[in-house]
Order: sequence, then C-alpha cells, then structure tokens
Amino acid sequence: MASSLSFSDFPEDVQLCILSFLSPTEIATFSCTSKRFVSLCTSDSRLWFTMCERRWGSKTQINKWVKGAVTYRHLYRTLSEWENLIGIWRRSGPGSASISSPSLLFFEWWDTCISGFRVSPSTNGSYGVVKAPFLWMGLSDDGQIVNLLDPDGRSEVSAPEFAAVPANGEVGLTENELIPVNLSFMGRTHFVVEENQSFAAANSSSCSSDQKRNGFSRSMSPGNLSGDEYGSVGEDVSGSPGSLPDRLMSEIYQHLANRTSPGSDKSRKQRRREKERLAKRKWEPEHFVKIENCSPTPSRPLQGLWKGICDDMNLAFYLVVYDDIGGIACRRVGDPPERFSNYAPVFWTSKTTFLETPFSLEEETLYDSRLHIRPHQTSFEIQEQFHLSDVEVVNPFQQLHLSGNEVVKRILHISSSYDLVIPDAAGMINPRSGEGRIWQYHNDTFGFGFLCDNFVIDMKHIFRNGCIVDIVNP
Amino acid sequence: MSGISDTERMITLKTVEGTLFDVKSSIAKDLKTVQAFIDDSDDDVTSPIPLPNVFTRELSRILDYLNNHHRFRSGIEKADEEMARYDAEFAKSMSHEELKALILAANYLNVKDLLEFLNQTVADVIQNKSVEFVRNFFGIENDYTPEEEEKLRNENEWAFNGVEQD
Repeated sequence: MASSLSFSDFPEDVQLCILSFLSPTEIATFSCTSKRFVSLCTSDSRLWFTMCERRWGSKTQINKWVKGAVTYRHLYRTLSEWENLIGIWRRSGPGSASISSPSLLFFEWWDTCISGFRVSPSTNGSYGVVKAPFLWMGLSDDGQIVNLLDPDGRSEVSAPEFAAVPANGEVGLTENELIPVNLSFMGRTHFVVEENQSFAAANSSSCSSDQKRNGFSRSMSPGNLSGDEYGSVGEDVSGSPGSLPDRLMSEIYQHLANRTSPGSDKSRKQRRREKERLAKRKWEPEHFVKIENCSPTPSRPLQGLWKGICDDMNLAFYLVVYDDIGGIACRRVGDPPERFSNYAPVFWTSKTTFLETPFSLEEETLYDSRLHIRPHQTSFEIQEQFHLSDVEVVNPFQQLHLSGNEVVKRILHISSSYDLVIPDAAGMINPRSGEGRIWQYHNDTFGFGFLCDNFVIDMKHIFRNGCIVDIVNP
Repeated sequence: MSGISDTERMITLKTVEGTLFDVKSSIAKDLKTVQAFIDDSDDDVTSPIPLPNVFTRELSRILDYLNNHHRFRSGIEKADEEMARYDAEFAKSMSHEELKALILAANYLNVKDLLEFLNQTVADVIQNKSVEFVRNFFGIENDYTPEEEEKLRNENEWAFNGVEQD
C-alpha cells in the first residue's frame, strides 16, 4: 500500500469539513500542529461559519447575526455562552417594587437574536398566559454585545436593531424605551441583569487597546468611569458584576464573583460619582435563576411549572420541585413577598407514594363532593356547551360541576404549609386541618385541595414541547 | 431491453486493480461521479466504467455502506437504531490508515453522506487529543521552532487543559 496519507493529501473541502466538527479548543490544538494549517483554522467565513451553522443552524439564522465587522469566530464564542439561556428562569429575590420586574422568563432563539420574554398569568380569569418581550440579546455591526431590556413589555414583539452605541457616548432611549443592559453569568444557572449606564465608557480612551481589539468589553462594568479600577482585560465576564444593590449583596458578590478590585477604597469623589449614577438608574439589578426541571417526567409526574386558578379566581403559576430525599414541594411563582413568604410552600409532602385504584369510599367521597375552581364562563357559553335550560344556568353550583370533572388515576397525601391552625367552635384543634390531597388525572395533569375546604384547584401545563401554550394578548 | 425498469439496471465498475463490481443503478446514483459519467454518456453504458483512483478495498467498503443504508431506509421500523449501530461498527472496523484512504475514495466518487460521516469519525478520533497525536495521525510535519511552539503553547494554555494523554 502507498505510504501513510497525510492531511495535505485531502482536498481543502474535506479538510474544512473535518475541522468543522471540532470544538474551538481542538481547532487551537490543530493550529499548533503546523504553520501550514493556521490560515485554515482561522478561516472565518468557511470554517467558523460552518461550526456555527452545525451547532445552531437549525435554531437561528447564523448568517443574519453577522454584519459588518463581526466574525463568525466571535459569534461562536458569544453563542456558546448565550445558548445556556434557552429555557425558563425565575427571578431570585423579591424584585424591585417600583419597576415591573418579571418573575418568570422564557428565552428562545430568534432569527437574529436571542430573546427573553416575561411570562405571567393573564388577569382575565381564564387559563391564558401573557408573553411579553423583556430582553433582546444580539450583536451590533462592530461586534459589540447589545442587550436591550424592555421594562414594561409594551414594545412590539419584533427584534430591535442592534445598533452600536455612538462614539460620543450619548445613550438616548430608543423609540421603544429599551434600556441597554449587561447580562453577567454567575455559573450556568444564575445571571444578573444590570443597566449599562456608561456603555460609552467602553469606547472612551480609558479603554485599553486590548479591549478595543476584542471588539467588545463586557468585563467593563457600568458606571465606574475610571477604567483603571478594573482588573486584567482578559477577565472572564462571569466574574465581574459591577453595580450592586447594597452593601450586603456587595459582599456576597465579592465572595462569588472573584472581582480583582475590592472597591472599598474608593475616594470620596468616586463615591459621589457612584451616588449620582445610582440616582439616574432606570433599572435596578435583578438576579435570575434557571429552572432546570420545568416539565414532568415519567418518574416525576408532578414536576415542573403549572398554572391553576386558585380560590380568589385569579390564575397563578406554581412550581413543583422534587427534592433528593423523595419529597416534593410546591410554591407559587411570582407572588409579592407580602402575600406569601418565599419559603412557605403551597403544599408539600415527604413521601411520594400514590394511592392507586380502587380507592376507599372515604377518598372517593372526599373528591366527588368537591367543586373544581374553573374560569368564569359566560352564561351563553355554558348554555352552548351543555344545552342547559335557563333555570339550570341560573344555578351557580351546577355551573361549577358541569365542566366535566377529570377522572382520577391516583391520589397523594399532602400537607399545606399553613401553621395557622384554627380551633373549631368547641375550641378543639383538628389535627388534620393542614392535610390535603393531590388527585392525578388520566391526562397527566393534576388537581389539589385541602381537607379544610371544599375546592379542587386544577393544574394545567404552562409549556408543552418547549413552547408556551394558551398565549393571550395582555 | 426496454422492459427493464431503471432500478434494476446494473452498472459495472472497475477498480485500479482491475476488479469488476456489478452495481444496481439505484446505488450508482449515490456515487455522483459515476452518475455524472452515466449521464454524460447518454445512458448508454455497456462496458465497465474505469475508476483510476479507487482501489478494490475502498470500493467494496463504499458499496457495502450504501447497500446497507438503502436496505435500512426501505425498512419500516427501527431504521434509525439499526443504522446507528451499523455506522458505529463500520467506523470501528477500519484502521486509521484505512479510514483516511476511504475518505479520499468517497471524495473522488462524491458520496456525500458517507463522506460527511467519515469526516465526523476522523474528527471524533482526534477529539481531545494532544498536538503530537494529531500530527502523528495526519502525518503533519512540525515546522514550528521550539521557541515558537513554546510561545503558542503558552498563549493557548487554556486550550490544553483536559487533553487526554497519548
């Protein structure tokens, strides 16, 4: 047989195809093998384009992200990090009361950007879900990362133009009042969104030439105008958060964020500048945490995000989480802290062993006598649906019953978190007052209720196949 | 021979060593170079088509791959699983040299899917391996001076973490 084939024996198409299956690390390794292949490894429109296309081509329009001076290599690096955003996140912490900060975020791929939507229950008493724009993440012509935040979610649901900030530093509001922000990761399941008040500082002369060469400078935090407060240029962005809500958070940050400059030795002038900057903020920093398990699985059928109409006839979102020791807990998502403390679950149990059919008479009675809380239906709709006479429509209890109760497949005992135990008329405390049930239905949704009342709150899926269902206009 | 449908027609191919292979025309369609030759000859191909760059070992493997994939695709259930298993075995059955030779043959014959599969297989082999391994595998001569190589290594220090030992 002929002597060993070498890489040079392959036509360039084949060479590029092989390289396009590798990760950036391996491309770097390959470029170390010989000078002859360095240009191959840096060929942007052929190699790096193919790498982007291979990894994300089915999800977005790779060629539309790149205009002007942006390289596909830069795009690869950016998308590798942003890809982690896709999915569902919840706000961590109570959220600033004055500005509408979303409690649930859903990130998805668009053609030219990644967009994050706020997901909230509709307020029209139905099971509808409102999906409004919150964050748009893209690249400008010169490769700057441009993240734009929509504070009120009122803007058009279409991707904005990702214009770079002009050199004179004037960051006026765009037509839809979008605010430039920084999104910094702290690990894979936590990020912070902060206003980028001094986007311009990235273009000023205080920026080192290295930062300019990179085309963007995410490691520059907003606000601090003296560039020399910052650590080395090559610092990975996941470590430098910048502006902080308060002193305590600052300390937690420093612990987690590996900042190189302590910040406690600021001069008086810098402190004053900091104060002025904070006063002009339109958006307070918010933290978000990823919800990893947002859908049920065969072994965890109650897991994930659900929506249900609770006893005040409003739609609410719930998150059911399985812990490591075989228990589950359910919390409402997005309540203001006054209403429910963040740590008190709606229901919980430490044992997830279901009762199977046939059920005892006691259990059957417990379920059959309950009213399922359903969205308001107009009389007309009910009449249409159930062919009722006028007399029947008038009876409100019948209305609640007639919506076709689901058939129960299995039952689970649960407890509520309410420590509030109300003695009955005789002054006795019923030990079962916190007890409740989950009724799992054949269509794999479930309902829950407590012994102390007579309702069932039916839970439905918020997401199906990765998409939000029942979207309504706000 | 007007009664015979297209899919039953046989094409004969001749390798470098002179071995003849009879191939169904439906399979020959996947060998785009061959198909182009057939199209150019106005479908009038009676004598064996010579393939001056292709050895018997490679053509045999390529035809094996194509025949199996056609068979899987025409089956109804579990085609994906079967195909994946076959592909894995196919890749493992070759030495590195044979793999490289097959790439050249598949490239010459323009067998797109197979070529992509082989390229991915090669990429998998060099995945996470050191610079020396890649050089050896591909027969690449190092033309960096020791100083240049040291400098490169330092610049790409982050890239060398997690690389397997040879």
